[in-house]
Amino acid sequence: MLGNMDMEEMLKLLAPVIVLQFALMIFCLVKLKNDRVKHLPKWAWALIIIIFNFVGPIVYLLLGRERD
Amino acid sequence: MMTFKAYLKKEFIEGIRQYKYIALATGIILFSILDPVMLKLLPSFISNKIPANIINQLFEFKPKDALANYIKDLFQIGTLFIIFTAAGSINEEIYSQKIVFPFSKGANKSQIVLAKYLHFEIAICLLLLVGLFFNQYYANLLFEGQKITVSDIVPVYFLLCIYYLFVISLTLLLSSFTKKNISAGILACTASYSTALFSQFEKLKKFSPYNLILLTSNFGSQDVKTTLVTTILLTLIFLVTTVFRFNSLEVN
Repeated sequence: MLGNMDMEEMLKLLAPVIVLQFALMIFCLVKLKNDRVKHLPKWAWALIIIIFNFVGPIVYLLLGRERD
Repeated sequence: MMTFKAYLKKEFIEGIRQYKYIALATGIILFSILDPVMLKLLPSFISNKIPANIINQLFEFKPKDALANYIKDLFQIGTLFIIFTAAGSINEEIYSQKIVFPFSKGANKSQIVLAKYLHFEIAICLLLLVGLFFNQYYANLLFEGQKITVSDIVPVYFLLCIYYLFVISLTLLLSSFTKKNISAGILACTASYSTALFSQFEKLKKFSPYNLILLTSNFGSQDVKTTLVTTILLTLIFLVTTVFRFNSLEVN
């Protein structure tokens, strides 16, 4: 059964995770554009958000934003 | 009582504003979907390197294996998300001087700590429930064999909630002793993961909160009483100590 699994079926299985990852990444990049940041410059945070799936955006939300 | 209600409400609002719920939801729900899918796809990924008959023997997963894998990942990675979300709760209030106003109005310090604790617990318990049901759905959908039932999930959910009650109380306590949330997070992670180390010793195992994770991933409820009592006692001790520490801190 697994041997017959083609790319389309794999993508269907992974779709919720891919959608979640992209939504989180875009949300954080939009936030980054408007926020004041700490610890690192904005471009470094952008790289972290884009490169590290899920962990990058969450690290930014928890540690990278200057609180109001 | 008014302080408690007001502070609990404030914590929920701040949780939304500081995106704490997004972090918690990612840490708890992500692996509930990702784990069964990756477990299912794992044989396909390595099919070119290992002969098909060996793959079938090595990777014959059942729905309960997917649930056990989720619980393991929740402990290993989900705990990180939970700890770092809660790590700044006490010290940020003190050192950013946000707490001055409620104190000057005569707010009850014990109730403030309890409100913080309860807020995290409600969020984590709700998200764990969602995570376990997502995992049940995906595991039953993707794997053949004995399906996971709601009655399988209930004891797992109960034990996980007790374990994370302990983790949050530990994090809040360490947060009250440190100035930076990163330090509190690192200390809380070290302490939480070292409970797994205690479980390596047979005599200490039942006194280690990590035993709850072992019991949930084995779907067993044997000898759970000692671990439950120890974990709840530790949670209460940490909470009371946090309240004392919070009371003794000087607010400028």
